[in-house]
Amino acid sequence: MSAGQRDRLLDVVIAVGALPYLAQFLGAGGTVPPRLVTWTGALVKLAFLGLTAAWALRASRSFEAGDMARTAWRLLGAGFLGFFLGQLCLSVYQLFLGGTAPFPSVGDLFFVLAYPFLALALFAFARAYSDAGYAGASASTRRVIVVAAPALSALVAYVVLKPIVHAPASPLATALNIAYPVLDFVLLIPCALLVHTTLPLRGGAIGKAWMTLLAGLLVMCAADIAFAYFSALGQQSLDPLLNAMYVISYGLMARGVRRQHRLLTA
Amino acid sequence: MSMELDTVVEALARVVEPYVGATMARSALKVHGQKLGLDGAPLTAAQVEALITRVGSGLNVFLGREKSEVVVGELKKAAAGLR
Repeated sequence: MSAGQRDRLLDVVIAVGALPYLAQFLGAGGTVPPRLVTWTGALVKLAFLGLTAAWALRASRSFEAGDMARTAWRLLGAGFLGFFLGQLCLSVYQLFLGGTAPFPSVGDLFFVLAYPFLALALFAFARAYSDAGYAGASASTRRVIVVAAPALSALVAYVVLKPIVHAPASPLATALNIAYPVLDFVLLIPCALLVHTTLPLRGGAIGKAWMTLLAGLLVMCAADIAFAYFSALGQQSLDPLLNAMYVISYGLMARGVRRQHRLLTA
Repeated sequence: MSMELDTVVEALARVVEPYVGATMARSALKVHGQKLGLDGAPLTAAQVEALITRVGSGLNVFLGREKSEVVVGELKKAAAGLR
């Protein structure tokens, strides 16, 4: 199977995972049994996260010990492994223990632990590319990004976190509902730096791989933030749409990391 | 045998542009050239070699050492084709 055919296969898997959720959201859910939606969604998410972790960890082997890029790929792999384990816990509840995962659950432990690895990985990539002369911007522009991204995030966070803080929930659930959007906003800072760094490379394979991976991360952050916000408002009607966003984001991240892995090993 | 800088940049850029894109390929080569003090005068074989080494080490961070070495080999072939 050629590289292009594998990319198309990933697109098909994204569609298989996301379309049933979108059908549910658009009110055409009657055509797809809910159990099938849950099973396809859970399995597709697990497959994407597991493969992304494996490809990232394998990519790290292409770099020598002490190389910042090696550390970055390892951290990225560890972050996606955390997401995979978190999703695995949720899937056990969804598929075998009654359909809905409790919140909080042991899965949240893995999800929360994964974020620092992902954020550190992205900062390490930005640093490694900058050290190699591919900063993508002057030092002053980078400083503006580092200041502007958190400032903008804080502004949106104020709006998003307000209903979450006041929503009736256990202290641990409230803490997690606040933690997820905050961690997503933190993740957006290195994402912004890397978008700026890799955008000039977009005409080549490296840029395409990064654009795909970063698009996946941005969609995931948007889904996380929207999920926390609408859950706090008690609006569950958007859940199928948000689940579709998760499938698409995990699929994009898998596609991006696979492209990079292929570049390193082909 | 000496070679014009623009001709060398164009030939080498064609090798690296599938990885970093056409714009970045040319600008990276020009920046590396400036850092080596190449001022537009015809290049010697040693200067072309130094330019290729710099471009190769810059790609290390994206492609890893093994793949970068392959690209360096392709860059050397492209440069040899100019002689």
